[in-house]
Amino acid sequence: MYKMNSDSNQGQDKQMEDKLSSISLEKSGNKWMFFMEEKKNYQTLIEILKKYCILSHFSSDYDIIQILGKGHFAEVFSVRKKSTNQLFAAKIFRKDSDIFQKSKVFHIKSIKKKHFFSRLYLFKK
Amino acid sequence: MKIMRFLPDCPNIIKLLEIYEDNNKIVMVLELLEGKDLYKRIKTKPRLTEKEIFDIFTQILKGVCFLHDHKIMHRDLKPDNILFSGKSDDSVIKIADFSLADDFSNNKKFTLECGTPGFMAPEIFTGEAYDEKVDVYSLGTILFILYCIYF
Repeated sequence: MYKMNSDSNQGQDKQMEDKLSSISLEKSGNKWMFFMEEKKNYQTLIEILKKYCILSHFSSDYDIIQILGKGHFAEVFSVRKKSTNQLFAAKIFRKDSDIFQKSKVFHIKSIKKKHFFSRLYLFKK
Repeated sequence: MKIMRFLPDCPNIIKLLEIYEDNNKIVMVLELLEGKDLYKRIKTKPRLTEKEIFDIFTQILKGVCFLHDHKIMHRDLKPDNILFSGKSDDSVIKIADFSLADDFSNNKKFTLECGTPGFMAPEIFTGEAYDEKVDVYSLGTILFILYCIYF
């Protein structure tokens, strides 16, 4: 169900260990199992897990409503969670876009060639 | 994305809730902010009053100070990336868009040219190694635009 992420940052891992002190992690076969000592922390555990792990079914959990904006790297949509009807924002990166294929430097040099202070001229009008 | 995941909660920085990955796309679920960004706000009404600018800018400074305490630099600070959480002018302000952010904890030398022209510090253009102080330069340009509207 959950995939543990292999990227890790040493200093910040310690902060996470403090939060998860009452929970132990064991591996059996191909699956990771969680064991908890207290049941009180159940909600906080789920919130932490959602932040640190990667889930796979976006379109089954959320409905897309409309586009909010487009950046250089991604598009931002407003979405509604199906289970609770709450509104969220979702930033969607396409894997076939520039960042994942060409280098970032190429992308940025193309910006540099445009009008240098084009944005700032707008304030004059 | 890796950076936002490890950040603890701060009132002046946008919150990351969930991450989804697919064959074609990566999706980050963030909290929804109802207000517009600072760039649109500057354009619509003729002027912000001095007290409003003071309130807005102290909140931006709190957010950037929090980032620098956690050894992260934003590198793309500009009015477009600063959002109002509500529709009124005195609502809480949040910093968004961490696609160019990076951490400077292990004395790495940064030479990559990135950011928005006009808000970038001069040492990024010349190709020298720079550090987290480039954020302070773009903060200065934001403050100048807030007060003077035109250039």
